[in-house]
Amino acid sequence: CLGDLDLKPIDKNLIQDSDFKSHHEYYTQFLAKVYAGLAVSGQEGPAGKPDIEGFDEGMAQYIRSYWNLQELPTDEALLGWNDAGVPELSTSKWSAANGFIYVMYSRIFFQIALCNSFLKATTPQALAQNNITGELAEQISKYRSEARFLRAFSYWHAIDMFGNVAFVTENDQIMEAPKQKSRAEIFQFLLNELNAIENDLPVNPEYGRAGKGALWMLKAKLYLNASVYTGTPMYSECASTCQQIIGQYGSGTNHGLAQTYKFLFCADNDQFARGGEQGEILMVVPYDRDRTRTYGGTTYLTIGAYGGTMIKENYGVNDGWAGPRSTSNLVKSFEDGDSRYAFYSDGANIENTDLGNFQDGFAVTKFTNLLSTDWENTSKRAYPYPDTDFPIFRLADTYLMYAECAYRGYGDQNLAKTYMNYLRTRAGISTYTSTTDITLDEILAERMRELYWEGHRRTDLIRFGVFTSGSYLWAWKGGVLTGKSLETKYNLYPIPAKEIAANPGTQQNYGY
Amino acid sequence: QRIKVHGNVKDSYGEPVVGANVIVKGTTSGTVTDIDGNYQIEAPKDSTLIFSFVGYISQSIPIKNRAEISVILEEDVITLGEVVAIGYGTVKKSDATGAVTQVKPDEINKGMATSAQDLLVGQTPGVVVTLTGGKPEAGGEIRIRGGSSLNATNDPLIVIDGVPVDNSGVTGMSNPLSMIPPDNIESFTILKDASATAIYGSRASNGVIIITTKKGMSGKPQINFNANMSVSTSRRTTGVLNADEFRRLIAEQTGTSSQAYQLLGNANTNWQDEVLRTTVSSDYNLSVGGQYKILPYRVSATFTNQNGILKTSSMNRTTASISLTPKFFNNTLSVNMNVKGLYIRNEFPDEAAIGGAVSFDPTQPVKVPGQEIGNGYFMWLQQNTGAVIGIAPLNPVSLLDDRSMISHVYRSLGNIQLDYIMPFLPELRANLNLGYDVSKSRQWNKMFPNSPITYKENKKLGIGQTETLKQLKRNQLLDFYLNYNNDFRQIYSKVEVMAGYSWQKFYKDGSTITTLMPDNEPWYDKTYADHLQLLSFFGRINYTFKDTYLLTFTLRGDATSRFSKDHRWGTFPALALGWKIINEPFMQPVANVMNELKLRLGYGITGQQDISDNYFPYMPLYSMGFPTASYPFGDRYYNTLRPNGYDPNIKWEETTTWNIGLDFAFLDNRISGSFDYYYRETNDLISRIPVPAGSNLTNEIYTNIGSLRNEGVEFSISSKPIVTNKFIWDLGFNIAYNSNKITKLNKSNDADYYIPVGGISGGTGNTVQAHKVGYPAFSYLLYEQVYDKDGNPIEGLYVDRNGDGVIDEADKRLYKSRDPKVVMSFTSRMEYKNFDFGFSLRANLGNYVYDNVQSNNSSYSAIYNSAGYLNNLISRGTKFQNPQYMSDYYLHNAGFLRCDNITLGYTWNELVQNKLKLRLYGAVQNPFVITKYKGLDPEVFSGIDNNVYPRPVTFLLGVIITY
Repeated sequence: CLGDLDLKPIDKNLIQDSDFKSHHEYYTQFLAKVYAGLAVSGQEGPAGKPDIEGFDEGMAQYIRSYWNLQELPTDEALLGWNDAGVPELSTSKWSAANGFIYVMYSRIFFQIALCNSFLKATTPQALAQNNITGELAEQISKYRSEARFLRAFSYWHAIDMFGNVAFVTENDQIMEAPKQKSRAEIFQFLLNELNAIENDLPVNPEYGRAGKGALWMLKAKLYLNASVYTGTPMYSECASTCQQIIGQYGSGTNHGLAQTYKFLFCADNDQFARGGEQGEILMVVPYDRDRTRTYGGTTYLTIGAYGGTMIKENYGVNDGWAGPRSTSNLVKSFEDGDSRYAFYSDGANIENTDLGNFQDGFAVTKFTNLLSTDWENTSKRAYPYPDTDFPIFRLADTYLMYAECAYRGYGDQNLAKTYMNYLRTRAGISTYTSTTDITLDEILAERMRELYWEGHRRTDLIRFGVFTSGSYLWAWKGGVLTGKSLETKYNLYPIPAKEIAANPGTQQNYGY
Repeated sequence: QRIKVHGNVKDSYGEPVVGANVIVKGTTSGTVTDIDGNYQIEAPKDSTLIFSFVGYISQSIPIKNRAEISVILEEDVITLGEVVAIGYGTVKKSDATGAVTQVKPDEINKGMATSAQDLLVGQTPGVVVTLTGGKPEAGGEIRIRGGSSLNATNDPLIVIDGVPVDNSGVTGMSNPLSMIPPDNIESFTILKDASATAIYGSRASNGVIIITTKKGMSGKPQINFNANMSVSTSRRTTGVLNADEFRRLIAEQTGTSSQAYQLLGNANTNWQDEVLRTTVSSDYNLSVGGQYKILPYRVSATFTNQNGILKTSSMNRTTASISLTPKFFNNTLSVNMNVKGLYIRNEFPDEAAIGGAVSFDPTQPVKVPGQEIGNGYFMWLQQNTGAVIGIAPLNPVSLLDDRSMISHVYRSLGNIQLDYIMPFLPELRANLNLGYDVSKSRQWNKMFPNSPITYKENKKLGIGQTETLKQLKRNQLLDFYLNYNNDFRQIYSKVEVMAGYSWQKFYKDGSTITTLMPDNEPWYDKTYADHLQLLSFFGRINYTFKDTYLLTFTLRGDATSRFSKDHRWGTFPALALGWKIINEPFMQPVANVMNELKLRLGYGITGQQDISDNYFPYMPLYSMGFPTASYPFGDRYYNTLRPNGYDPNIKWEETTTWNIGLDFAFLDNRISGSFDYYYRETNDLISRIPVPAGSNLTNEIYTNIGSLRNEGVEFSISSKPIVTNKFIWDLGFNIAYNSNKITKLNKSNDADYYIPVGGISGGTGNTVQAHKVGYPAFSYLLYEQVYDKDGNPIEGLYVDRNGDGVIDEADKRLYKSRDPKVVMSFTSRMEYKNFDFGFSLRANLGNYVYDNVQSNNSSYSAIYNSAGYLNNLISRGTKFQNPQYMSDYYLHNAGFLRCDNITLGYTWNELVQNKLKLRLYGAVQNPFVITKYKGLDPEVFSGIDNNVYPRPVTFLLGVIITY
């Protein structure tokens, strides 16, 4: 009778390690989850069996929590909801107890643990145990490189937002508390990792997966922000990596860019993430209204961002949450005729006087769920979830990164001007005529116009030294409408209080 | 001169009594009867023989030189009444060494309760029953001496006729005890301390409630019929602004040319009146009990129809039960067979209508003539397009009328218990108990096509849907034990030894199938299946010396399939000592006034493994994703495979309890009572805590960490101040104090660490309670409100507790708890001639409630949303501009005194030639509550007052007929 205790799960949705032996497709489905960790919030879609426990599932989705931390404290976005921890993000008053910070930290490390778990399950020994050899073993070893890339990608977020963080790899045991490592050490680890797997990633990966373009962009991002991460600038390495990317992907009549800016953020924007002449999106988080559903991701940037008197059906959806909206800085940065200007202003006030009022600020309509073909159609296509993919890295950003390196003294300013003019031409506004038209401040402003609401802003403002300083202000910076300077501690988020409690010996960031 | 005496011992049915003791009075020599009830003994010819057997009245018969003496032993009804079930056996109440209380529902207000929980309310100190609002088929949260766990269940183990039942819910049935109609309950035994509960080892940390149902009695059939009819109505409603007041407020706050003002309607709707109602319910119970030849039987059937005061809520329950208790082979084999069946049909309302009715705009009508969308129910639509505003609240009436949630549950619980006295050794009994509990549920949740909610949920396109929930649950049990019971008179000792084995398996599976209406087009399916195995070995030794010194030792080894091979066994010992001081020679002088005086001392360890829905928390498993959460590689979408978090080393939670108690009775038992002190510490709490980042495949996991302490005193007293042949007065009072404190929560012992709990309505993720070391569980964590000189709260101004000039998380104060410190109850019952009159009162002290109704419905910014809708405010508003959820202004002392019921009855004892007994009674349930708390009802289990289904006042008229 004691044998009766050796029960195994009978739920057909629960899979055991040993089942992989007879179901080789499970390895691919496992890798799909490693990617899907960025796209959805759990196993049911849009909600249910969440990856992250103890928090609203939609808010704990990777892109949404990353977006919140990268955009809400900046000059691009405001959010007036009463949710616990939200006002503190817009007013830069967060503490280590802030739930959104905890959720981001948890998300990043869930993703890292997922990658590590994949790597553990696919070592040559583990594969041999499950009788996997030959072509399949070869294919899975390529999968491993993708998992390592995705791990590096999340570690980049970790050091960018939190500085010194827990360091854990596939060599650590489950439930074993990892040790904290310095930002610089992890930075070096990431460069080594990217170099080690570079040859395994294809130039033109399948839609939804990462290739060399994504890898090089991550590398370029690391170099670009190296002085923030390690104290040692690496702009020249950044410039040459950008050149490598442009050399590979920047050819054709549009220099590798999508012809029409707004189509990059609409329902069929997957066309720009499948390579080819307009393959501007170098890394993508895909969404599908039926198959890849979430309350985070682009649902948050379409439905979430619609409200007031907007007719949501004009943007391809049938609901609006009156969530994030623009700051006046963002709206005012555009000159007339800039096709990148995408705001809805009816009934709204351009100024952000009342933080809690959605209509104190313009709604942002950059992300839509319209098809590029029926843009001006009157027949409405309205769905509760969008098909719109989220672009993680775009070639346009590569051009701007190169320009920034050049103006920091590590590249060709004429070439920089040419690159920036690609973007301004597409936007339908005047081009720069002389290299002296361009300054670093101008590049920062152009980055906002080109890349707003794509999750880059906090990192950019910090690199330019204006995230906390009093020299550049926006509404509600520091908790006042006119804006004020912040303590420099806010350049990093605190290590969440829950992590400090769970992992003895973890050092809190300075000032928290 | 010694002679040989022989004879036969029979019971009143003429059956031999096997194993009866035959003792020569004043000596240690004796014998026991054999399988035919015969005995033989040598004794002095002028001595006296004493015949005794458990459950029978002893007889002393002088030999007077006779060679044959046969006796008939009468069942000792009084002694039987004092026998209490203690798990795998019974014990005479006076010999119990643990904190054990027996509650007999017949002693309470007959016929009024519709659920078993009702019968326990206020009956014994240390048992707090919070009925979950006023909904039909309401379950109740039962807590015995406070909770011993933070995350694992805190429900006591419930054992019905020897079958431990699964506490976790059954789909379509909100109360696991619905199974047992109160009329069928013979007794509850509540095991409170570990020395009593440890025999149930792994599941006993939160106490055990043993329910014994009524059995057939000897004699001619007795027919019992109860019926009652009741009318329920709401006691009070939440004060809100009426339509005119609301119009005035909108004008004041936004001006008459504002968009908000344009949204106002012309109606004058009292939404609470629209969703609430006064209803009639009825309850019938028929039972027949008696003995047919050798077969004592009892059959009963009940029908209950209960309608809730929230429209569309109702419960229809039919139960049937059969109990057979024959004895075979000269009474050596006792069979106890019980089968219970239940069919229940519940109609659940969408309870969001309760909160919705408080805040919905009173100037809008329930229905808009000619409006097609939303089936004519008023909905918030965009002014310019007529499109639905997705984030606007829904018409509360439509939530009730335009969707339906109906369940049908069939459940059966049964067991057969065989108790066999070994013919070769009558002191030894073997007991086998086979039991089952099976339920099958179906529930249909429908959103009708074009109903308002179909524009807010799921596809948001006005498409109706049917959700079909199916569930099968099965719980099988096998218990076997041997019991050896002997009197060693030579050494003044009684010994009882019991050892046994238990096997219990739980299984469940189910599905949720969602289809679209009206064409039943499939949309999505979810399925689940789980099982759990428990195995146990257990034993108990009861030793009594000189009927004065008692010792009980129990040991249980428990294993669960929930933990890994290395951690699945747990050992749970307990020791209890009792001292019947009353039997000491030095008590002789007071023996005529004092009836009982017993000191009890107990120690024991119990366990816990019941962690919600996680059946394999130690195992690395992958969960298969749904097609709606799939991921594309190229154009092919893959259902994803996620490795789940797990703790390979998860093990038993252990609770250690100390108990000291004193039982007393004097003046012919006219006054009796008991006093208990306990100290209970739970270690290796199975808590859901954050894991170090990256160390597991989740951010929070169930693992063994943390400690919790409960300490308390309990006192109960009952008395009969007046007993004459015309007038009897019974009084009962009990009081319990419990203090709960968390002593450890995490590995780093970080003093600032806390776990936020207690989510509220308003914003997402806002919590108002926390667990923190050094404080009671579920303490409130809020800012300390600052008040102006007139005592009004100043919006957004809080005490800077750490004095750093900034108001942030660090300034929140951990203060008070949801749990009452002191719980009291008082019952009185008078009988004068044929009249009876009784009432019961109950009080909780020191419990605090966060008034979420107030914090969420009283700020001016809430009245208008720029998406194009309005919200009403409650009358006891705060005049705040914006919601201030984190202010302790909303935290209130919710101590209360509640009258649970008042009953008046009249009984005719001698109708139809003395054969018929009839009682007519009337009762009021929940007539009044005295409290300073301003919300609807201060009794809120979670401590967060928000959308609680209001408890009605019920007027009841009933009849009981016994034939």
